[in-house]
Amino acid sequence: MERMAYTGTLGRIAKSMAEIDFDGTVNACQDAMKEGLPAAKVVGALSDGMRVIGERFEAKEYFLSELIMAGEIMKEAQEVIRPYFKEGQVKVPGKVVMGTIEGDLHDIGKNIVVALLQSVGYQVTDVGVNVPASKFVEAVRNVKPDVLGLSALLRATVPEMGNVIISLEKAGLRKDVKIVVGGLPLNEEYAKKLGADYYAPDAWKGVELIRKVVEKS
Amino acid sequence: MRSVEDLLELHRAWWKLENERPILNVTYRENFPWMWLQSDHMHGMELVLKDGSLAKDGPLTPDMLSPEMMHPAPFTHGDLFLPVMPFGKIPWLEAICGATPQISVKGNSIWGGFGEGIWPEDWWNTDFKVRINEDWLRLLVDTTKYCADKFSKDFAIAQTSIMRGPVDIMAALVGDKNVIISMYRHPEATKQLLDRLADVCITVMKAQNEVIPKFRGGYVNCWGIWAPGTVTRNQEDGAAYLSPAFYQKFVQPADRKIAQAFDYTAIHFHAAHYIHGDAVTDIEELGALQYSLEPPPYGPTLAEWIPILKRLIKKKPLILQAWYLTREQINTLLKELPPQGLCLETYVQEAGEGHYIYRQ
Repeated sequence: MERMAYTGTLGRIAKSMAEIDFDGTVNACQDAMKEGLPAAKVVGALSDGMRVIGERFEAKEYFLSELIMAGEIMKEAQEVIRPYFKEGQVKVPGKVVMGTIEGDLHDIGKNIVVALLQSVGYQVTDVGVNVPASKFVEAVRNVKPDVLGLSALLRATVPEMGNVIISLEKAGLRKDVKIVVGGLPLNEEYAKKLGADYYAPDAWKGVELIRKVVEKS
Repeated sequence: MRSVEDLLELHRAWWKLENERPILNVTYRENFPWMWLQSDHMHGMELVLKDGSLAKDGPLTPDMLSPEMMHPAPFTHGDLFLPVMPFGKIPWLEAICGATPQISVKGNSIWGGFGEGIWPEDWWNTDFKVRINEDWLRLLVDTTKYCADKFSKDFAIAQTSIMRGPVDIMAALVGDKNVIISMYRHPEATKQLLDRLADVCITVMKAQNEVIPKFRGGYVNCWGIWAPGTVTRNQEDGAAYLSPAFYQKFVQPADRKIAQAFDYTAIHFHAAHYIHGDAVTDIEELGALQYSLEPPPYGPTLAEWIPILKRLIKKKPLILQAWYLTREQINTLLKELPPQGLCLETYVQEAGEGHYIYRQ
């Protein structure tokens, strides 16, 4: 197994997380809290487990089903440890608006990105699927996100991403937000042509990319 | 030379992995009229002469032609029959199971199960039952019968083309994410639901078969392949999200149940499902596996496909469909794969012309 940074209860958290063991992770988080371990360290152990999940996903040992479940475990684990954070200790790293463009209803990739970003504290506004450009514009205006994520699976609907970007320009909001596009029909070159700032080839890379973009901004 | 009898024999042998030449339907779309080429005439004309032979290089005179041979009935394209079937864009199975179809003009699709927020977050804790929507089932059967009454003189009649299988219907009913969560957290309830959905699939498939007339002593599937017994096909798009272990644990038993209910079955997969090819072809009762070979990043490169396909075709006949391949890529597939069990259907587009083509 991949090398992990933690031992004891924290090690159990990281290992159960890496093994996509829902009950094991949640129980270990509860034990850690009972033992009085700092919440920030528990988050660190969860992140270590997530790192392994990412490595296994890239090595094609894990699949989308594992990423989806990892998001669910992280959500539940956060519920366990949230009460133990002291006031002011919880920082929102960034704000993201995410949605699947109009004409496309595929949402697995989007949902994974949403769940994983939320699990690490991001404020994510999920505007759903089959979302018209006007709704994205409205969300960007209201939420003022660091990043707008546009998702698609169907080739035929990808040009709609360009419409969203043009609509943001027309509304004078384009310069206020970084745009990450993701989906199998795209590539780096196509993303640039559409006017996006970044391209994410899969959900896992999308999460990493958005975190980097937010850190930079 | 092609005749209906030739095609029947070719198809009969194909199901048994005994065909000496592949089943081909290769369309050269840069020419008009489009040419559907069959396997014994890959790079020539499809024109059938009065004497039943295929046209060769040389002059053409009226006495060489006859209307009957130029327009044979039943209609064929390449080595396949051209079936008539109920409108394929409607998500019939999802509708029959209770998910109201939603039209998306922009997406050029009709979706089953659209509607974030309508899915029960914890279906496993509710009294979740799948009830057949009789109105949708009746409409499908009536439409199948209409096709049979109206077109069976000149065409083979088939079941509707896009019949989604248990995991796709489940996703339409409870949402993709909840399919995964329930597989992890409520495996027994998930297996029971998939089993129930397999039963519904079988009911719907049999209901169509009851009104489809026999064609030359057998039936034709939606791809136009004849078989000397009952046929059906289903697809499990949602399995693309799953690990091979989860496919085997949850979906394979449902697919096996469907395969056991008919004589000649096939499962449609996309390129992303390449990881499940081995598990699917392990279903002994399954007749064939169909792959839509979408190019990367949807799935493997053609070079990566070759060893996978070589392995799978030893076990089951394969129907390979690609939107576009170059002549060179077609030749590679024909050279690398044995004819036994191979059915290839594609459009030819020269390298560089297509934007949706294998680059490697």
